Amino acid sequence: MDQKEEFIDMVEKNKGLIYKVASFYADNTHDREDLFQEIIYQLWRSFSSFQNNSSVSTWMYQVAMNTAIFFLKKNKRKLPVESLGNEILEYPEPEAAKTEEYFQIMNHHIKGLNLMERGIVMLYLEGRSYEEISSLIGISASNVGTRLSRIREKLKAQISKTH
Amino acid sequence: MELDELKASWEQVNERIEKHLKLNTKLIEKMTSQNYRTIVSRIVYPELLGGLVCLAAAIAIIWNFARFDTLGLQMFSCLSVLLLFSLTLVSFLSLRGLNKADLGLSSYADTLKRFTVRKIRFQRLQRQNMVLTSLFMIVFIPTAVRLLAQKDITRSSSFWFIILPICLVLQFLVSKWVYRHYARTLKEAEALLADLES
Repeated sequence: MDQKEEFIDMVEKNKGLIYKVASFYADNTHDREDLFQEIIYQLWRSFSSFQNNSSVSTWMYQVAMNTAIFFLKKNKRKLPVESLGNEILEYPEPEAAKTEEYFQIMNHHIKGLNLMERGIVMLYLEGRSYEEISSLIGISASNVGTRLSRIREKLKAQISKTH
Repeated sequence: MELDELKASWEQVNERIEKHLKLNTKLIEKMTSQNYRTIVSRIVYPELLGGLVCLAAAIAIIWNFARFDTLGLQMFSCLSVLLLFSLTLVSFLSLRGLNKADLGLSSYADTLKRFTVRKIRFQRLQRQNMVLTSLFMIVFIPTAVRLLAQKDITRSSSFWFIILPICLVLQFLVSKWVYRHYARTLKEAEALLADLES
């Protein structure tokens, strides 16, 4: 199996992970698909430096979340990625509506968080342990706990403000 | 919805995504090719073009310097050249380091720190760029009129007592707006950096 085939196989196996990161950071469907493509491109760029020192999913989270940080900046400059002309996610109604509704609710909740807090929440939603979050984010596990409590407080305050 | 409720629903959404995500080999290959994505070039080329136009204008003024035969015109043309070089420099500085990072080698916190530092620098440069551009518009008026229409408007009292004061007031208002416009973004970026370093 050559490098490209190995990469494609890896992406196909972890496509859900990539789409979830894109969904978490992008505000709408169009941006989500742009970010999804950008993540795959950046994964391919970094593939040669992936040494199997960490698991594939850890490496993918790292590249995907780091890409999202830069994507937000580029996106503000209104520079869209060219469309591939294909819908990446196609699901029948009412599942599509339910998923979109969830993304909107989630975006509403996380918009008050800064990028550091967003990264922690993203991995928490994914069910990652404090140790895994700590190694992916690059802060101590106790700091992860402290920040998560602060995030809970922030979200509660935001809810009480909107109700 | 609280964090744990968000997490429970996230798991349900995940199942739907895994079930309906369409991604084939052909699509992945397309996404990894350089051809379809032109983000960087779309940022770099306009900035580069802007810088080159400024450089060309500065060279044109220097080339025609002998035509600025009064002290007033010489002062305005020198200031124009100085501002044009400054604008080119600011433009090129804002491009420095764009898209060179290997995003698989650093942690999220490190990437975020690098991104925030770069964002602060870029915002400051943009702010300087806008102020310099508005100042350049004033300084360039007499220089351009001399070069294109062969007239010396610095000899006219209406230039000194009407046009220049109005332009200076407008320039002051533009600068004030620019500083206010960037203040919030800069404050947020600086707060994030402080949080990352705490």
